[in-house]
Amino acid sequence: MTVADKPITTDIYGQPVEPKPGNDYITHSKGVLSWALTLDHKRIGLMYLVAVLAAFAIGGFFAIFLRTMLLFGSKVGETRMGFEVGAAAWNDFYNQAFTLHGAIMVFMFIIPAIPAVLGNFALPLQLGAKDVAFPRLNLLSFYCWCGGSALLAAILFGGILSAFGIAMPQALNGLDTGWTFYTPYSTTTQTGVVLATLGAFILGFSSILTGLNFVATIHMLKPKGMGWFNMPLFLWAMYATAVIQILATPVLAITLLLLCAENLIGIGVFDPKLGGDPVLFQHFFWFYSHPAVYIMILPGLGVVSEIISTFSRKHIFGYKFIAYSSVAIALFGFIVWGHHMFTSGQSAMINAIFSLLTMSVAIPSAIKVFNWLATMYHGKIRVETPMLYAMGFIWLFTIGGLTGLFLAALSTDIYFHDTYFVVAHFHYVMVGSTLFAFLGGMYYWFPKMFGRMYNETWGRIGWAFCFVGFNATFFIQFIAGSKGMPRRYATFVDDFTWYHHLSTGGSYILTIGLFIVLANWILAKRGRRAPANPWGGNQLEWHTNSPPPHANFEYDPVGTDPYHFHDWTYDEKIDGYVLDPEHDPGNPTHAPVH
Amino acid sequence: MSDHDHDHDHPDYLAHHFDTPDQQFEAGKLGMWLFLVTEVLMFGGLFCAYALYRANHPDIFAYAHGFLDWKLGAVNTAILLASSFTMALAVRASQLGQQGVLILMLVLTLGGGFGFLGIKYVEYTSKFGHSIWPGQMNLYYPIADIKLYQEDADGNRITDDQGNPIPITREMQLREIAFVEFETLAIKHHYTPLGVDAEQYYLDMGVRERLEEHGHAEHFDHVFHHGGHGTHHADEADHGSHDGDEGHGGDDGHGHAGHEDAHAAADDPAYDYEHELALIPVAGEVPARSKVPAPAYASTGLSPSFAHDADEAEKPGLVETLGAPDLSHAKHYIPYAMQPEGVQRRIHLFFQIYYCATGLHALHVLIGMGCITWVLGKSLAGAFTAEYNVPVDIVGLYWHIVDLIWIFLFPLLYLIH
Ligand SMILES: [Cu+2]
Repeated sequence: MTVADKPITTDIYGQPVEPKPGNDYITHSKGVLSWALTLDHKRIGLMYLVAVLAAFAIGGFFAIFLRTMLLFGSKVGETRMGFEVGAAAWNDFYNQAFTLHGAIMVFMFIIPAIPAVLGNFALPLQLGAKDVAFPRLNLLSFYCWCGGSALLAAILFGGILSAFGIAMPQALNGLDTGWTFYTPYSTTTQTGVVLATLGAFILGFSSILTGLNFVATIHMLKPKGMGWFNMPLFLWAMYATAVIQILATPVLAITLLLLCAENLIGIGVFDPKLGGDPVLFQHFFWFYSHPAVYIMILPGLGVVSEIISTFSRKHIFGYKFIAYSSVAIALFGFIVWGHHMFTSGQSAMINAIFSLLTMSVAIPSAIKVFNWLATMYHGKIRVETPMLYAMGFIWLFTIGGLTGLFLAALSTDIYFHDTYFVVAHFHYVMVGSTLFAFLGGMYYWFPKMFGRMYNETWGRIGWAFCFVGFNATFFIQFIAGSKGMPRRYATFVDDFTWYHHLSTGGSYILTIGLFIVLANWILAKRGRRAPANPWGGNQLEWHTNSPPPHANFEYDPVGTDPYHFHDWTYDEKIDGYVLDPEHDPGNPTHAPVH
Repeated sequence: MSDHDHDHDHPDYLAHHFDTPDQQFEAGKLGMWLFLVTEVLMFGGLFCAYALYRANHPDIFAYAHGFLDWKLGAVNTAILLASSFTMALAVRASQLGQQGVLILMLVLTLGGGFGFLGIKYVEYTSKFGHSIWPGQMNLYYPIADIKLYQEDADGNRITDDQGNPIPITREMQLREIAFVEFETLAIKHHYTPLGVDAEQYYLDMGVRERLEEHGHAEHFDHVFHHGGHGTHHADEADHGSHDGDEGHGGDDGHGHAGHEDAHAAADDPAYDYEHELALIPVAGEVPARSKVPAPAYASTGLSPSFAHDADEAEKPGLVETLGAPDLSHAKHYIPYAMQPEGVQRRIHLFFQIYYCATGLHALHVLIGMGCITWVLGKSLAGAFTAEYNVPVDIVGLYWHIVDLIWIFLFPLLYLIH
């Protein structure tokens, strides 16, 4: 009987550890309150995980709902799904579905997903710290998320009830502005813009507090031996993300407050009827929301850097280039927002400048992709689930990034503006890339989080469904868009039926894949106990038990090169990597410590 | 292992994940600085809106700020500066472990906060008194202050056959508007000469008669004639600094030249009050767009094409493309009520930015005062020593940023040239 078969785990030296209740952070204390009031970053990360997955499920439901509506979008006048296609009720339903899909996915899922879940869990561990700098603020940030989400959920349920004919006050009457809340429509619609903007405002607070916490943590809690240039690249990515969260989100905050005031008392800053300018809203909104796109993607780039290097068993190629490119993307992100207003009547000069600046973002993005490929080159690649997601990410991110150039170029953007080409582009970047990085990161840190291994075969099958489903859903949309299918339309001419059928079919495959992923995670509850280091990474989170104890480490770890994997040797008995105590700079006694 | 290492100097206030009090202090301070950055950026949005609208309508900002009392603003600036100073002294006292001084300084700082909000209250209520409100009701603000329906001598509403109240006529409204505005701008703020077009206009609107009824006709003469030519210069020198602020004080030459023009304008039969009359909005009704020549750009210049589209669409009142008249010196001064509707809207916008900026700032003052109260409570309980005083320091930082934001708001809103 090997160690792997026994209900025990092993520490980083391969020594068996009897899992005793109370020894790890999950069993450290019991009861709902010990979770609800926890200051432990790992527990807060897990609470975030449950919360954002719930948000993802709701947002996903609306996605499937509207994709299903689009199966029948060309049957104008016929009755489908209980509604007459193309009638007012059908269109209202569709508008609300895509608005809630977008708002929930952006504000409640994608923005917090990687920073709040994986960041909260892994960032202090990678720093060898006991917690983030401000644990109470961290918990507050989680409850801000809950509060903001509760407001959005209230609107959502109000909208559903009013769809069933139950009269709702305007504040709860669903939302149909699109997630961008563009004025003047958002100041005239009869739906719940005020509560939605308040909800997004509070969610923004949550995001700011997380970012602020991470910057302070990275500055103040680096361990002995770790400088800026032997930090894991995930930390660089999280740092760049946090900088955007801190610098961009306040602008969204004031914009949403002004929009609220506009709706409540009519201050008129965005209302041409009162002397204001709706295009000013677009400028404010995108000054936040373009950088926000990098809040969504940068953490994913960090996760992928970790996975690629660890699973290639090779030192990351071009460490400094990847690190600096994260910062460059964050900074460039602040000066390109005008590309959302190429058709809003900016001057030609401003359009040209924004076009040029936007294209320049391609440089740091490409630097990352080439460095990943160079890392994999001649590596001993283990194609396991996290690596599959990372490689899928490179594929999706490249397509998403390259089609972004079409939209950055003025001449083509005028043509593609507000078509499915745009929809496909940002889904490749924001959904494909970020979701794949999130899932890959979850699989990567899953053994550390829960101390159990998931089923590898089903992990790969789930990935295949997601990858095929995603590309089937969205690649066809590039073509539909370039043939002129406009976005945000509930009906269309017959020519586009075929594209929409294919796209909807793809979305069903993607859904199946996501359910396989979820089932795999839940069933891992009975999985084999994970060794301390199943992948052989040298980042500090692998220098502690799985799951880690309440205070993260048995002793203060010392920072080393996170991509130096040679001191870890594979141990077949435990299907994991073990460290020779002689090569553990953090170990003060050069012997296992218990 | 290291858990044991720093057990000996791990005091109560040191959180378990920090190694030394210094590290914790530095982290707290860094966190606060980052938070202050977000505060500045949040106000940055408002400053940006301000800059945009002011750059496009400098004349309107110059005109509208006349409703603000720069003296009260200056007093408030002084109060906040002083309270920032006492806050800095409080931080120093806490670092030196001087308990008594710390408490005194915190109380003084808190007092400054109350003083600031008190004056803000006076300012806001005086704005409300002139019917300058936050929000859309401000659009018709001169009207909000006056009666909407005709009344008899006893103040009872006159009703028609069906018993419905009869709205006052445009003519009556215009007179009310002119009176309210004249009181606000010219008298309460010691306005410098309003210009000769205006004099004739206010005479026609019966403002002088009504002032006479109240025994204040001299106000009217003072505003337009400064008690005759002999005292004109002295008088203007009196209000010298104010002149500049108003943006249309002009030099002396204009006063006289304008005077001559005035009579010409007043005698000019082509001067069409009826037309101007039609521009005045009646409460509750959005008037049709007037046909004043449109400039090429819409209100902020961000969206020229938007303005053109709206023009073609002929949607009444959707985009106001009126040109702003030159309000920059007395000769061309046009009373608020006489302003084209589009200009009135932009004046409205000034006050909305004023309310948003000062309101948000006042909210921050309140939060700051809450924090100071909390620190005061802790220091009364003796929580701070020379070794541990992070909260005082951090709350101090917050209070300074509140002060700093006001230092930008004050000249931008009150001291427009
Ligand atoms: Cu963008």
